[in-house]
Amino acid sequence: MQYFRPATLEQALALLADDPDARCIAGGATLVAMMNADLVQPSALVSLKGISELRGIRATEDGVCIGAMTPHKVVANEDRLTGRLEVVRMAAGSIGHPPIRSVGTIGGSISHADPAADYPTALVAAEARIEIVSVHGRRVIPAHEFFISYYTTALESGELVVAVHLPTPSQDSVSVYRKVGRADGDFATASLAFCGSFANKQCISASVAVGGCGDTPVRSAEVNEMLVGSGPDSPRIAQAAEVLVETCDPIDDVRGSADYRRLLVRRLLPRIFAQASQKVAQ
Amino acid sequence: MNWTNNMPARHGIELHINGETHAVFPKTEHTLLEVLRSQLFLTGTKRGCNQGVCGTCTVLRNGEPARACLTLAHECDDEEITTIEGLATEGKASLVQQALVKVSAPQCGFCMPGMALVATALLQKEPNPDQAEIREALSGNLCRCTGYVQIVEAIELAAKEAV
Amino acid sequence: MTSIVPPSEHARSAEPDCDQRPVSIIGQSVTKIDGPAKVSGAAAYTDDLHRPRMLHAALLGSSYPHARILRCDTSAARALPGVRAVLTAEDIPAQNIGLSVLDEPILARGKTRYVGEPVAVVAAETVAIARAAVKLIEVEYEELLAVFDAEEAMLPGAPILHEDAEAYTRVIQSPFSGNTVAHIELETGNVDDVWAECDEIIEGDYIVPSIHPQYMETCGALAELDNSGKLIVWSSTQGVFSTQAAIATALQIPMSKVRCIAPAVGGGFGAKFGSVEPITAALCLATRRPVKLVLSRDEDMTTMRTRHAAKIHIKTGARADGTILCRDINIVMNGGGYADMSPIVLECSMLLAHGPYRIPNVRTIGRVAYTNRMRAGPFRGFGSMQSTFAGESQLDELASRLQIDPIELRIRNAMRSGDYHMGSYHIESCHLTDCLDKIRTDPAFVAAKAERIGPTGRKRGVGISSVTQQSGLFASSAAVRLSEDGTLVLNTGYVDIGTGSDTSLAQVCAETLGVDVDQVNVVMPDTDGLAYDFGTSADRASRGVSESVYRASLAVKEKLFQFASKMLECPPDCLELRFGGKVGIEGKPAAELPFSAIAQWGLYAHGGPIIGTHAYYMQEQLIDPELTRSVGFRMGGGVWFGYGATATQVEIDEDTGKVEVIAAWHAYDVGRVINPDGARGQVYGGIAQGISGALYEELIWDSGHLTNPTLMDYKIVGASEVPLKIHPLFLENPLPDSAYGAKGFAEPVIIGVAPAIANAVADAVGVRVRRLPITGERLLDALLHKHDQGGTKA
Repeated sequence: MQYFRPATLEQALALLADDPDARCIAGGATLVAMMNADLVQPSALVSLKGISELRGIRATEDGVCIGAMTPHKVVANEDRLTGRLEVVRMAAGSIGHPPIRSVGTIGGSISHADPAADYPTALVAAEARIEIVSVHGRRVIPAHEFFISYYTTALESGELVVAVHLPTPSQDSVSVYRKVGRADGDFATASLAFCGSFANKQCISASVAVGGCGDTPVRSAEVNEMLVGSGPDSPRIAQAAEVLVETCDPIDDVRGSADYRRLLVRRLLPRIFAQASQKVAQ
Repeated sequence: MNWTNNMPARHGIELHINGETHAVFPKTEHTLLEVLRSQLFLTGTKRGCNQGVCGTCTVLRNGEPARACLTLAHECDDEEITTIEGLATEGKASLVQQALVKVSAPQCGFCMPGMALVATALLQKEPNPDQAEIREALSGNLCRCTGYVQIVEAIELAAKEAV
Repeated sequence: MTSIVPPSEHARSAEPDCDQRPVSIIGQSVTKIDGPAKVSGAAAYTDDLHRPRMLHAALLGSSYPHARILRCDTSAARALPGVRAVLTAEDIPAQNIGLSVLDEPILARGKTRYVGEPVAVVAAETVAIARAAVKLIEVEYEELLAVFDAEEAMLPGAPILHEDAEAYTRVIQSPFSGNTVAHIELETGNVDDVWAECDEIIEGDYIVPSIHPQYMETCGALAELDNSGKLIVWSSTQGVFSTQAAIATALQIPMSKVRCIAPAVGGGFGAKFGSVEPITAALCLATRRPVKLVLSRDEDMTTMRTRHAAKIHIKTGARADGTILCRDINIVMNGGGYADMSPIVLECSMLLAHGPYRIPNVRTIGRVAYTNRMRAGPFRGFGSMQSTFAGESQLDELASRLQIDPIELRIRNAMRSGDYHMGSYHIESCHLTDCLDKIRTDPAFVAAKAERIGPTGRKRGVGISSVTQQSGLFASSAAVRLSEDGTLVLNTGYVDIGTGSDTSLAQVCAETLGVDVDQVNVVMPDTDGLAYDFGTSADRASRGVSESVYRASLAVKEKLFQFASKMLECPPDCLELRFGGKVGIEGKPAAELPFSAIAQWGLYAHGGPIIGTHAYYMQEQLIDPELTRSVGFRMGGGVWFGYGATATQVEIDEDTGKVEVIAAWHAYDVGRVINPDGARGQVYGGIAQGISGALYEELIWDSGHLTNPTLMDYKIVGASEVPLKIHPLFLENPLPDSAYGAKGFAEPVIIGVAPAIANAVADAVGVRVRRLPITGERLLDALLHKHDQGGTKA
């Protein structure tokens, strides 16, 4: 197995184009664990460590841009992720444990596309856009189109995530991330992310995503519409929760049964909605 | 047939460990843990699960706790690595190490190197952590013997004695 | 001038707060002997050991839960460059090993009985080559019908795992048949006669799953040959002697050709009474080179030992005033593919299943079955954990029905010193009521009990469980030798797997001879050493092994006085020990000799080396068959009983069902605390381990394949999940005939945690979960359906 440490993005892309069985190594937390378990046998590894343009968080004209190689710990401490973007920060802070958060990266995490992981759910709710590059050029797609199935993304051979773009949070926007796992630092049995805004205690925009309850983060335009115009005491919230439950397609696994996951979604949507509405009051 | 013939050529790298530079020849897939234990015989860093969960393989990469089992050796050639063997100064145990011994924290001891390194990194960043901060810092290091209580006590003691 | 007060006087005069005795090493938080090495990284565990030209081994495990091995082709593996040996059952003697029944081949012979059972083993120049070679071994299996549930396995018509069970040598004689490894019955009084007198009868099933010990260091061994061609096997074991015996038996070589040593051991919890040592030794003999085999985490989780899963049916009858008249208990345990220590675990579970209460009529029937899962073996609690979960949960249910406070109900029925368990088992010391009372009156507990709602609005509750366990088992011994500089060599063969026994045993020796602990050289556990010990378990260090150390030290003292009497020309009964390793004449401060002078006199002038030894086997209980009727019940070795109580405070998230433990109390009569910091460490660890098992842990199989063989998928508690407030409450009622009065307590700390949590949950939210672990899902299901959560299968 060969090892390359390209100094520029161009060099990295050329290496990936050249060898379809080569894999990128970002933080390594997932890839090396899989190599240790003999689940992957790449022909070569292309380290992204030396490519400085992939790191860091910067403001752009329409929002915030997080470089693919930015560690979770940095995202978890980023003050510019406020309002509807706070959910991304909360998700980053929930991933694994401190030593994992020091090396794990947003690019690596979303490329792995585990629907029980924290970032995919939060990014779908926050309506993030994923910037992808290859030797053939650059494209940007919405997060919900990036995650296609279990461990499957829209990345084609030779493509690489370079950044995650988040829209500027509006003044009155809020967000909440709630994760239920068996133990601290576990993957989610189920997780819910809510992004939205309120005026006069009524919701004026909403974007909800659910993790751990399907092969990708679950979202529903119908649910989002039902939440708009509602306050935390509205009976529409419970109805929206039912629709959300029906949109989910959970399985039974060691972290919980499908039934339990549905129960969690049904019970927690009203909670996080209420929590979000209270955040506005503050 | 010589069993070494089938091994591809490896190129050497330098690893900076505990202030010393070591020339090693790891394969691409060799983790830092593998190199530390099997090539450099620095066996204080343990292999408890090889999946990045238990934390017994903890080392410091540029002062930050990291899982040596999830770190490729080739990724570390430009970093300062600290292992448990590097905490003592001229044979004298560090404050954290002394505190762990003083409160009788070690039981089977297998988690201790990882705990000591995480504690060291924490106190360097936050000289006066509260219980919640200590437990959060330790949350990625598993222990089956102690229930963590005396490890937390040791860190509080070390923080106090460092003043 | 200080003098050493004989222990018998200690026991009589010492009350818990008494300050009459001189400053003593017993009762001090002496620095742990192995502490510095463990925090520096210098302590060497099995995988840290390295030898020149050492080979590395890897295992091939069975792919099927139950199958015949038709063909095993190792030729491709052997041909791989770098491979030095490949062994299957064909290459080693056809001899089984086993801790109670000799039913277990070290490599599967003819058939396999669980997924992962070792079928072949490879030794190669590197781990990578060994693992690559394992993949090249071709095995043809004929799949057989498998059975995974214990009750199903014992029904007629179930697939039989051990067709030759009749021919097996049995160390433990219990009735067996088919897949039933042991069927044991124990009875006192007559339960059937008294149901009619009961005002309240309560009945239920309680289910405890298999869990994995999750010691942080996985099992492993390094085998090499010494200059005389004898095997030396270093291994992560808690019993060097039983490991030695297993190697010798499996390979059919004399024990005089096998030496077993324990380096630092990273936890055991009962489950490390022998693992891969025989296989590793076989590879060493085959290659004549050192060989190391260390299991990966998932290999350890699939091939070593689990705690016994159990289904316990209990029926309890009581009068309206709370007097318990009878308990009828039925225990079914899942033993996995091999018997291991199952019959003994079952016995222990049965003996105390009715709880530490004066119940005149008890019937307990227990069975353990072979199933096509990995074998179940000893794990902290040793069967009592399962039966206590059932008994103590039900006791609270009874209290609720009778409208009696749960602690009060326990106190009313509690055993007292001088009582008898199950008719014949004499209880020399029981302070259960004091322990229950200690918790009941603890200010933090009182406050917790009153606190029904937590700061975030979630419901809180408290729950308690009595705890009782038998300690002891089998034999210990000690040898103490005086070196010519006056320092001491202490040899017991007991393995310190993290319990601190090296230090506490050194304290016993040091106390007896009046020296500092650092003057005592505690020898590594080594079968070539003089002293024999059964193995680290059952609080044996605090009493049995301590007794040996104490008496061996006394023998040294006697010899010291004998020699000194000649050197000082005075009768031995005028002599006294003086602190700092000296012997002097009473009343004459100037007349004294350091130990070194006496030792050297013995070595170079007259008398010989000063060596004290003691061999110990605690007196077995005499069973009166009129009072205690049993079938197949043996209770090997002397045991003594310990008593205490555990309480927890929990908080419930009613949205998710998740339980959080806010605080815990553990009150136990320990006789005498030998090392306070070490002792409380055992309480914190046992409580944490108990919480982990109560709320998170479960090995989950699918058709015999373990679905969660990783620490990612099988969770144990981390630092942020252990309560900040754990209160160890040690009661000290020194045992009169025990060295320094210590009784031992550390193993049972885990036993009462799960029922205390289940009882606290019931107190908080009014539902009862009778199946572990109490996951958010189980509790939420119980809350929503307003029914109690039970279960059917073990």
